[in-house]
Amino acid sequence: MSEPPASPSRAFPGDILMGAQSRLLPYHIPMRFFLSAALFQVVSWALLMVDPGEVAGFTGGTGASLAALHALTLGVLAMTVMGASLQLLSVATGVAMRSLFPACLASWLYIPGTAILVAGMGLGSHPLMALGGIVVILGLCVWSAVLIDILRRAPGLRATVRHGWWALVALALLSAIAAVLILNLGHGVLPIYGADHGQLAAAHAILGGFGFMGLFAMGFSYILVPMFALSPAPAEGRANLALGLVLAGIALALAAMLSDGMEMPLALGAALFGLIGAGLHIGLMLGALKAGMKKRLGLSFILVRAAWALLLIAIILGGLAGAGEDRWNMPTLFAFVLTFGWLLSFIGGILGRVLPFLTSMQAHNQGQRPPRLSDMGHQKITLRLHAAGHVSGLVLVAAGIAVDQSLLVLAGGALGTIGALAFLWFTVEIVGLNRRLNAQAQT
Amino acid sequence: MEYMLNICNKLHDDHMITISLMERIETALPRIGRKSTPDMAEAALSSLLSDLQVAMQNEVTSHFAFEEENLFTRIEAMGETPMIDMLLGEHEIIRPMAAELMQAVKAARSDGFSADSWQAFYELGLDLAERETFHIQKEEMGFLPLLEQIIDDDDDADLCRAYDAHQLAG
Repeated sequence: MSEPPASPSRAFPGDILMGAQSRLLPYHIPMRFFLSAALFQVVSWALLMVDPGEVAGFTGGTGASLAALHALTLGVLAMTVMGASLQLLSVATGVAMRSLFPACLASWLYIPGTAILVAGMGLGSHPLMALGGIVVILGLCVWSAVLIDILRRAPGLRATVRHGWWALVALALLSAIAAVLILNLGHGVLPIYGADHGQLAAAHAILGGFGFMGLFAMGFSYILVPMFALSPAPAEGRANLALGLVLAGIALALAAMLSDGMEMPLALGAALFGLIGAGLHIGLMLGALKAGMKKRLGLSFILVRAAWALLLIAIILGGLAGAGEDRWNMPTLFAFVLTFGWLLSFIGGILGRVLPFLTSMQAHNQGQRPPRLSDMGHQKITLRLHAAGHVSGLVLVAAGIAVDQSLLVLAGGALGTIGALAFLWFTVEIVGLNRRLNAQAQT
Repeated sequence: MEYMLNICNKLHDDHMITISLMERIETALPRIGRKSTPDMAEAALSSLLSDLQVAMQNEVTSHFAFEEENLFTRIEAMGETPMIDMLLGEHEIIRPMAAELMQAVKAARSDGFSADSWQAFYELGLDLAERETFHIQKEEMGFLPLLEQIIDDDDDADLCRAYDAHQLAG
């Protein structure tokens, strides 16, 4: 080679590991989202214990159950997506953020906004809900603008980027519906014709669980799973096919929620498309794990595998609930398995790997020898306790909902809270380590 | 994983051997335990130590040196110095650890492990396994795909010859 070669214009999953130094954000930006998510995880499990009798038959309305659900969806799931997308997408796509200010602004709005909204839901205070809702939506708008700028300039990772675009479409729709739902709770603004509160709430749940959060989880998986397993990225065409099938399933599910008289065929069709799409996605992920050079992926990937199984179960339960099955408190059971089951298990498993990984990258960035990954955050205690508490909490609360037993919900909430506290301990340790590494680098 | 360039496949084969060995360390050492000094007559441990010595020797004298002399320079010429700084930094961390581990293996094969030497070997082995794995992760997912984009067939043949020469010299 006589001349220096030009830098390639195409991004690939490994970019997340290579050349990342220049695009790593200051540790405190992603970590404030991850730490908040760990705190809200404790809150969401603990809130299940406040009124366990209400959890099993929950179909809407303010109170501890609504607060628990949104502490999870906004406080943990969306919070994690915001932190992860700001850091991982800019590193993985090679697109640097133009300014750090919008990312900080999004956190200043979104984190307290979520706390206000959850408090308002728990207390049944409409002014607090309205205030929290407005601030949360503003925070999401700022974050979306940052993300749109990254996705628009991303030169590669097309499957992940495509999932990101569709997730943002779902976010816009679910935020609009959320604003209408909050207004309706306070002022009864919905007309007597058209979709009622319950139908809109169901559409909001589908767009949040399978749309916004589910699509981001799928999209990020195409980067993170091959990276951790050391395997080639799955074929883009198959990833696109899985995305198309899942989108068709979401569209049919929305139609089922909003229709009058066609619920059963639409809901079953939605479940069928969703199952095939999710099955294809999971097949691609399992293929990546099988082809991977690294076989021992630890406890984190046991949780991730459990999450994939729970995704399929959630789709089946959703299809049954949408088709009108109301035994075993099916709508509530579906919502619980979708959020606490599939999404929270997935995020717990992935964060258990991502947080030490990001800390190591930060140490390299500051010219310091990184600590051993497995030594970070007392993982032998914290992550094991988290997994045990999380899984047993899931089983007990799901059983409590299905058989309408508040004692089971209470016990499950307690075990889930213990698990979430262990995860908070892990996260606090990781954030503390980042602070120490940063302080050492400054001196 | 199959690369288009022969040189990437050769490096990948080295990585496969090392990753597999590191996974053996991560399985075998915790199974024995930090506080129970093992018997050197145990066949599985003896075979692991033997494989470890050969693989680490190849890794630091041949594989690392080949990359530093023949590949990192090309990437640096593209202006991707942060990437090369990171990989070189990891080589500099791993190289003395591998040397220390080879010394420990040599001593253990002649005199066996004492409680202290086993505990030191245990910590060092797990530390090396994790750092090697993380390093290979970066090379497999970032460095080798990048080489596939910037090296042509003629260069590939030259690099393979240089790689073979390093193997013979190592």
